[in-house]
Amino acid sequence: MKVRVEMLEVTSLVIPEGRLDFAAAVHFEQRLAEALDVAGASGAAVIVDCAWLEYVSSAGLRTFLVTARAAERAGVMFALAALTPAVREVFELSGFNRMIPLHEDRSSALELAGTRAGRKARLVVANETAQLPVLTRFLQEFWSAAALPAEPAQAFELALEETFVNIVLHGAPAGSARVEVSLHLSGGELALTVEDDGPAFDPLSVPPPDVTARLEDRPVGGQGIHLVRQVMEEVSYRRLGRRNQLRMSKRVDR
Amino acid sequence: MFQIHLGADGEVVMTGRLDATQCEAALEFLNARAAPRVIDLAALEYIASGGLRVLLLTQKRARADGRNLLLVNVRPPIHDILRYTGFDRIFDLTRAAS
Repeated sequence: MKVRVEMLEVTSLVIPEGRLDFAAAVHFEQRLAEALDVAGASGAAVIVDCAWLEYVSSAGLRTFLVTARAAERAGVMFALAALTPAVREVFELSGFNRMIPLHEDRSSALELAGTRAGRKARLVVANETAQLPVLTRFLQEFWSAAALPAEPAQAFELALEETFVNIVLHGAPAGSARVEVSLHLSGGELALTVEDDGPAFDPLSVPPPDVTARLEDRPVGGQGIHLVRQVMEEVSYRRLGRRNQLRMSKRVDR
Repeated sequence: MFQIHLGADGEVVMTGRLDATQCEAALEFLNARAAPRVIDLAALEYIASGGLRVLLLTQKRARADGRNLLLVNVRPPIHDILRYTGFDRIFDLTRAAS
């Protein structure tokens, strides 16, 4: 049996190929233990992608159980993904599926690992102003879960508010559409993505306000997206099918 | 949590977070009386464009009365927002001692 180990951002991905029988079990258990050591030191997860695992003997099953227990002690997420029907049946017959989390595919396991590590979060709300405090709380909770420095928090609160209020005021009729907010922390950069299913609108196409205008010449609106551009490092708009997507990002590790 | 009230010398005091959900209440309070001479922002933690609009409308009202609104004790994060929008040029302001 061959075993590959890939290091992703918050996950050690272990990929066994072939037959996990008695002869292969000792070596495999060792690889899992190494992956667990690495993950434990960095708060990451260990996920075994079983898509190429053809067979698991009882000795093979035991290696998963030993690792699951060690992971629990170390506070590391441990899960299996993409089991073939034959291998899944072995887990179900032995009852091991109740002791070790099994995911349908690799991506759902990785997604969960990201959420657990405080690197990703997602929230869907209706497009009405009353939801703003919910969004602010969502952002603040992410901030403490990810232990981010306090200083850049305000920029994200502002960007989220301005984007959301724009969607409520200028998008679909209030309460009739959904707004999806997601946060993704990667390599010291935090990305805030806001998607809505209202009519196509690129807020970046609006010309910036004249910040030197005299009071008499000042319109009372139109500052929102300008502020977002000021407080974020990168802002980009995409139309994705029937949705608007605005992505805003900034480094948060200073 | 946002609060707005009158201070001992008749100045308007704003505290907390002036986000989009609080602007209507703030405007209602301000419009119920003559435009103030002074707004104390020492305890204002957060402002967004909706809050800037409240300040702008109040300044326009003050100017109509031949006066100029003074923002006092403006903290650095709030001052940044005023600066980004050029509002630091249309208000007289004093910054909070840091």
